[in-house]
Amino acid sequence: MLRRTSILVLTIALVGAFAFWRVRPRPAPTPESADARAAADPHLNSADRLAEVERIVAERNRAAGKDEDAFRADGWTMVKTDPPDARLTSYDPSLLAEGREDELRGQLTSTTAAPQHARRIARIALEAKEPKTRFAAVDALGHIHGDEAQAALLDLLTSGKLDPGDFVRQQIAPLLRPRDLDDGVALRMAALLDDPRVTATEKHQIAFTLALVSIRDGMTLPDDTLAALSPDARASLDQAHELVTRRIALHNRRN
Amino acid sequence: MHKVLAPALALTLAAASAHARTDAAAQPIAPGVAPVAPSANASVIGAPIIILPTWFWPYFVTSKCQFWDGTACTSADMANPYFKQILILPSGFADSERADFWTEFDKIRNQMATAGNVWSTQYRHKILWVGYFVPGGPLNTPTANFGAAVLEHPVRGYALSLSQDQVRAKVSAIKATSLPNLNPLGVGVLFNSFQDNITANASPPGFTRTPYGIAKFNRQDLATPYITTHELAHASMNFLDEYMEPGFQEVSIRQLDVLTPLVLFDGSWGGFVSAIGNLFSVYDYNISEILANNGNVNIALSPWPQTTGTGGQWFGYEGGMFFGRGTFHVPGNNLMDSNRDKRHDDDGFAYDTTAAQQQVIDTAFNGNYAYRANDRLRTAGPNDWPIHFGSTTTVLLFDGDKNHQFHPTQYYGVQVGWYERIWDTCWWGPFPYPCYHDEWRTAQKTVWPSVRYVDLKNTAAYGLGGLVQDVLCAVGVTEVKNGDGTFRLCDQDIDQVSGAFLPTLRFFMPYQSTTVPASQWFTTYWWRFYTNNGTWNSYYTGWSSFYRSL
Repeated sequence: MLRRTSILVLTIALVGAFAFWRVRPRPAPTPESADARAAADPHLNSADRLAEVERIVAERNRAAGKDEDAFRADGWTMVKTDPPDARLTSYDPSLLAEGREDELRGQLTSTTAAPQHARRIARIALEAKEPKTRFAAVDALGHIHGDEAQAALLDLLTSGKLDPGDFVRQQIAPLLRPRDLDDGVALRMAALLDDPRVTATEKHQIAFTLALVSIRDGMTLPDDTLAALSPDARASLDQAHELVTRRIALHNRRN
Repeated sequence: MHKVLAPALALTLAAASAHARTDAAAQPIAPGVAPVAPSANASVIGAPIIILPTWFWPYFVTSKCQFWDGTACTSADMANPYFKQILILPSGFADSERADFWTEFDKIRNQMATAGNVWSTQYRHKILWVGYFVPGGPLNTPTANFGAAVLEHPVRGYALSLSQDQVRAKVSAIKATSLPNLNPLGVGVLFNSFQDNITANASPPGFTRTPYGIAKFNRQDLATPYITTHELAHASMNFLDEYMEPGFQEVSIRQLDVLTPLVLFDGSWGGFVSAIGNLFSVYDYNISEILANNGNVNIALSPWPQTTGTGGQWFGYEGGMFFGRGTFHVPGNNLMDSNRDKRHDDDGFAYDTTAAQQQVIDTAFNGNYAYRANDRLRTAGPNDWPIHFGSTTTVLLFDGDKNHQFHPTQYYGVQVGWYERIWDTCWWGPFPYPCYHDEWRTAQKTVWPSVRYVDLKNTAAYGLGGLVQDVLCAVGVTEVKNGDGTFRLCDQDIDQVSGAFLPTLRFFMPYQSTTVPASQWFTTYWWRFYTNNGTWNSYYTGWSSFYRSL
C-alpha cells in the first residue's frame, strides 16, 4: 500500500513538474553565461539568487530598449502590427498550393528579393497558375542583382519548360544582364546565339544587350568565345551593334 | 488693304484714348466685341468705346481668351480653377502677321474642340484657349521668339527647335504683366512655317517637373487636328507615345538597364551616397523605371502595374515609348498610338482615348481627384546582405507615382519592425534563471517626398550617346540643362556635337530614401511602406528585410 502511495505521489509530482514546465511564460533557455551561472550558484541563498537573476534581467532589458529609444529619438512612433509571415517573405512556392497565390504575387511585385531567393522565385515562374504571378516572378528575378538570379533566368529560358510563345518566357531575354563581357553570364548569353532552343527574337535581344555592354565598357567578347560562334551569330552581334549606334528616323507623321 | 488700314486705325485709336494700349494692359477680346482701352490702372474700363467691324480686331489684338465655341472668356474665368487653360504662343510671326496668327489660333481651337473623343474635345467646356501674340523676327534668325528655328536634321527630316526656358520666361512675364490669372495646363508654340516632313514634338512636364509642358508645331501641322491634339496631350496630360520606333520593335526598354551603372546619384541624395561606394550593388534602381514608370501613366513596365492591393487596369498591349517590348499600354485605338507596327486591331490610331488615359484626363479636369491610390510601389533595398552603413541605414522606396503630374505622392508611411528579445525570470524548480522570448516591435514614421535626381554624364555614355539621344528625343526630353543655360539635345546629330561638350542629362527619380536608426548589431530589420496621394492611401508593400551586421 505504502509503495503504491509512493508511486502515486511521485507520479503526481512528475506530472505537476511537467505541467509547470509547459505552462511557464514562453521562456527559452539561454546559453550558459557567467551571469546565469552566478545566479544558479548553490552557495547563494534563494533570495540572493532571485535578486541576482532580476538584476541580470533588468540589465538585459535596458539594453534591449535602446533600439526603441533610438527610433523615438529619430521621430518614429511605436505602433502595433502583425509580424511578417516568414513563408511569404521567403517566397515559398508551396504557398501556391495553399490558395495564397495573390499574397505571393503581392510580395513579388512590391519588394526586391534577395539573391538567395532566386531559385524559389524561378519555381514560382513555372508553377503559378496565373500569368500575372508568373510574370511577377520573372520580373522579380530581373530586379535581383547578382549571379544567382541571372543563372535562374538563363535556366528558365533554356529549360524547355516554357513554350516559346509563352508571354512570360518572352520577358526573360531582356532581363539578362552580364556585369561585363568577361562575365560567365555574358559567355552563356553568347552561346545562346547559336542555341536552337532560343527564338530569333530572343537572340536579337541577347545580341542587343551584348552590344550595349560592349559599347558601354569599350570591350568585346573574349576571342575564343567569338571564334566559337557561328557566322550567323557574329552577324547578329554586328547588326545589334549597328542598331545601337546608328541614327534612326523617328516618326514624323505618326498616324 | 486691311493690313494697311489696321495699323493706322489702331494708332489713331490709341492716341484718342490717351491711354496707349500696352502688353501690360492687354485684355481678352473676342470677335464682335468692341475693344476697349484700359484705364491707367488697367482695372477700370474707360472711354472711348468704339464699335469696330469684326474683320478689324485681329490686326491689333495682343491676347485672347476663348471658350471652345469662340465666345470670350474673362479674367475671372481664367481665375476659376474649374477651367484649365491651353496657351498658344507664336514664333516667327512679324507684327504685320498678327492676323495670320489669330486665324491659326482659331483653327487650333476649333480642331482641338471637335476631334472625336480626345481629351480636349471631351472637356472642351472646361478649357479656355488663351492666345498671346508676341511679334518677333523670322524663324532661324536671332530675333525669332524663343530662339525658334526649323532645322534640317541629318536623319529626321526637319526638327522644330526652341528654348523652353525662354518660353517659360515669357509665360511668367505675361502672367506678371498682362494676364495675372494665366496658369496653363499646356503651352503650344506655333511656328510660322509651312515646312513639311517635320518631327513635331512636345515635352511632357513630368520629365522636367514643371506645371506644364511645351508642344511645338508649325502651320503645316494644322492640316488635321492630329498634331495639336497629340502634342498638346504630351504637354498637358503628360502622356507618352504608345507606339514603337523603326528597328526597335523587338527591343525591350528593360535592356537599357545595363546602362544603369552609368547614372550617378548627385548631391540631392545627401551623405549616404558618399558613404556607400557601390550603390548599384546595394539598391535596385533602373533606367527603365526612371524613363517609363515615373508619373506617366499611360505607359507601364508591366501589364499589371499595380503592385499593392488588388484589381487595377490591364495594360495588355506591349510596346510604346520608343520600344516594342518591355513597355505596355491599355488596349484601344487612341490619340497616342499609331497605325504603324500594329499588333492588334485595336492597337492603332484614332481620335479616341483609352481607359488609362481617361482616368488621367478625368483627374486633370476634376480638381486632381485621384482615381486610384499611388500603388506602383516596391521596396528597393538594401537587400539583406551584411553591409555597414554606420549608425543608420538608408532604405530606398520605389514609387512610380512620386512624380505623377496630377496626384503626386503627398507622404509615405514607413514602418520598420524587428524582434526584440525580452528577458524574464524563469524557474527551474526552486531555481530562478534569466530567460527570454522575442516580441515583435514596429516603429512608424511619416516621410515627406523630396526631389531626388541622378545625372547621366554623356561622357560616361560615350558611344551610346546616339541611342540615348534618340530615346530621350523620342520621349520628349529635348533640352538639357547646362550650367545656367540649356543644351538643345534634339537639334542635331550627337556625332555633330563637339566631343568636348557632351551634356549631362538629369533625371528626376521615382525613388525616395529615408534613414532608419537601426542601432542593434546582428539584427534583422523588416520594413515596408505605403503612400498617400491626397485622395487615397495605398496598401502597404510586402515586408522587406535588411540585416545589420557591424
